[in-house]
Amino acid sequence: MKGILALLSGAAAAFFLTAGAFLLLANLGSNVAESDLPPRSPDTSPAPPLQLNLQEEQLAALEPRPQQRFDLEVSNASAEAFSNVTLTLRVLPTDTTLAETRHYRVAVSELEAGESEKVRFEVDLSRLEARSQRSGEPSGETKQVLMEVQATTPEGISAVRTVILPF
Amino acid sequence: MLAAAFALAGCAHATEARQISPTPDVQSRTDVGLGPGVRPLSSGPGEKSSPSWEPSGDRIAFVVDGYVVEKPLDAPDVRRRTTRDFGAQAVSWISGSSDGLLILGADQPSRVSDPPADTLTAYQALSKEGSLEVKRLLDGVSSMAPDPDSGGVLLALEDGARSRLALVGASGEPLTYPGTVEGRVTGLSLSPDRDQAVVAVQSPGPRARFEIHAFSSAENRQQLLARLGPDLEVIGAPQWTRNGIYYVAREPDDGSPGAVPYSLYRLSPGSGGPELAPGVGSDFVALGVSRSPDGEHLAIIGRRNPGSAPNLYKLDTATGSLSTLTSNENMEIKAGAGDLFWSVDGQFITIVARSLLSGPETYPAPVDAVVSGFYNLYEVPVEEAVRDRSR
Repeated sequence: MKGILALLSGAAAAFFLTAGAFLLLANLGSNVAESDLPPRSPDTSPAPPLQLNLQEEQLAALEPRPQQRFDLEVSNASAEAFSNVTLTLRVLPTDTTLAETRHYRVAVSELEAGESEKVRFEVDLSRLEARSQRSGEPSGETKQVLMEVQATTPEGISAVRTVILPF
Repeated sequence: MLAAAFALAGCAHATEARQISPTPDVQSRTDVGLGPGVRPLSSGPGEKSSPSWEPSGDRIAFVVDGYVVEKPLDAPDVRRRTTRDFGAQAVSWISGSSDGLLILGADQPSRVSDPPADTLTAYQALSKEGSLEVKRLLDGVSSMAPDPDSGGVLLALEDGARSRLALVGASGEPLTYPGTVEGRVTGLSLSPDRDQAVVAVQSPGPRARFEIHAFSSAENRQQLLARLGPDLEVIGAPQWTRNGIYYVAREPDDGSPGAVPYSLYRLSPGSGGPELAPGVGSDFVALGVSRSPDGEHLAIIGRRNPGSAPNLYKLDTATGSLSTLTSNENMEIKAGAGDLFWSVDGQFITIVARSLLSGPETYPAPVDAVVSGFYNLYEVPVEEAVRDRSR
């Protein structure tokens, strides 16, 4: 009789030990899987490799006059260095009947991965010729000046920003 | 590391300052600052006005900086139809002739130094591929209204101290309405059945007053409907709906806070005279109106009260129910007589708007792809179901 009781006790103990081990393994497994999940709402769009950073205070300080200093920063957010990054700047009126556009250019010979470089343009922002006021046209449109700055690499990587200056 | 500077450029380290984030400038029908479902139909700089849909609904024409362009509705390919110095002020499609456009412009191709003329000339753009030629149709035009149903354009012509009306179709030959009215027509539109036209007239002389007249081609007569008070001015064109004639009048600014300088009035049969339009509320500031092709509704650019942002509204003229079609917070919307255009099927309204800029603004796009920073055309779905589908 004692032998039978001992056998049953041993079997029960073995059952609970095995079940506990499986439960422990299952919990460990699920924890590992959960920690490997990607974030729920990741920003999947990669950062653009070439970036132009403009400063609000600096733009606000620009005036519609010659010899204005326009500073910006060009950044390399990629893992490789860029050689010969060209920055072109167009200053143009909002009136599309006017052909006058002012062009400027700066080159950055080497931009290492993860690095930024500050660039300065000295530009003429004096008012481009305004058309006559035809009847019914608001006058505000002719008071704006546009700047379009573009950075390009020989490999074809580029970044662009347009700035509207409401003078 | 910095290698070379060309032209007038130099380089130096700038002081630390706060970086400015570019304004998103989306081209899709997600959110362009006017609410869900609204999508831009044009982009880039230039003073745009007078949108006009081709009767088939495939293309749209408009004025940019005094010249006329057209483009497919869903593509960026812009085709210029006049010289850049044309001095165009309005454009409308004429159906029945391929690529037919009627253009209202300066008497002569203008130069930038030309002063504004008192009257304009109607031209028909020739449809030859790549041609910028136009054919002179009529002189002495004071205003025009498209008639999408017939594919024609209704013109008001000055004839000495009097004005008369003419309808121009695909042939370019004007059909003159019987009757004349003393004074200058400042705005006009057709009745829904197209048998009659309603005009706002400024009478001549030092005591000039605005009047509302009806011209009937079927009954061969012209009739005075209302004479406004000496301080009231009709803004834009009166609109003839199936439930009365609506017009915007500017009242003298008495300087009191909360004054409503622009109000919407209705003239209806049996009303005994103009009344404030029912349904919009006494604080509503109406800036521009245009009736729907079926004559049942009125599109209104307006403000709920003098301190609120302008929006596009739709008024059911039978019930007085007013619905808001845009949810604008920071855009200015043009409200000129030709800046509000219904599609022929009445499903969409085209408006012209741009962002209000309080300072420099940057956009992550080339200048020609920037939308909200300049006056551009936007297509607004009229029915809620269409707006929902577009989300």
